[in-house]
Amino acid sequence: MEIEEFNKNMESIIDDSLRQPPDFILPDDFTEKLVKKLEKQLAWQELLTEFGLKTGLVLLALIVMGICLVFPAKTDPAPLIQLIVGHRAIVCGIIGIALFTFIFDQVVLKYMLKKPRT
Amino acid sequence: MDDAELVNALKAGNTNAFRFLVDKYRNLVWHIVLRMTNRQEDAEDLCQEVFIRVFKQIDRFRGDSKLSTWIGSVTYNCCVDHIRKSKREVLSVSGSIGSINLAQADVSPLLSNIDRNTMKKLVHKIIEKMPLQYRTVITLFHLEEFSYREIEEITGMPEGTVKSYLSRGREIIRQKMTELVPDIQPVLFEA
Repeated sequence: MEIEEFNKNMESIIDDSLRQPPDFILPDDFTEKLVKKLEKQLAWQELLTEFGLKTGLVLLALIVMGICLVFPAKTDPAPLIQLIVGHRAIVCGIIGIALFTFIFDQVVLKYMLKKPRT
Repeated sequence: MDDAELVNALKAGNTNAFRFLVDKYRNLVWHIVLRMTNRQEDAEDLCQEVFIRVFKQIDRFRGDSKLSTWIGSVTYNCCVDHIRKSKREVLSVSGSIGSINLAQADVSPLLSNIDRNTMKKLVHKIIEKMPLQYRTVITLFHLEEFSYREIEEITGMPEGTVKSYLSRGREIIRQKMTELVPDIQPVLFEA
């Protein structure tokens, strides 16, 4: 009889303990912090995708323009290539400045000015 | 908002739905993460990672199971990845438990004043020292009240293994308690 009661009480303590949550709890502001973090991640993702698409479009337009200029007139592209190679430092500088301005304007500034979604 | 509506809103990228989801399932994720990692310092970051993973992978949820079960499985996988990366614990799926490394010194502050509450704390200490599979299954079954079938979905362990971990886990708790508290009888009979 005593053994039975011992086992019963033991089981009841174990049951209660197993159903009892751990002592530590998540901070109250956990949800808010997490939503902000997600919004930041989504904003970056959106801006980078947008930037990628815009850059792709500009490159595509440049390629199409180049093809249209060179092929129908059957111009020899060699002098143009020579000109670019000869002034590669200036060309790279212009591309670099354009790219930096584009990134700064389209990604960084937009990200900084973006209001959190409500 | 029911789970179906919640899933649709999440699939549409609604961050308010995300806020609702976090509020609804934060305890579930927190309990699993805390019990699996045994480290409060890592647990909050891991919880954040779980919810962000849930949001990004919500398109994969087809509604075959309950949302809570699916979130449970995302949490389980996230914790397993984390434990693998930190290499703090050997991830073994074998049934062998070896010996629980819980010395009298670990629990002696608890034993100075033994009552039912202290006994509960002692059970928690014993669970903390159990191998990963045991504490995961015990948490999912007893604390979160998942069925055997759902635990199988979450962890990928066969139902039979889940049942065996549960009964052996309970046996180990019982054994360890009588071993650590020689004067257990009066405490049990005070109830």
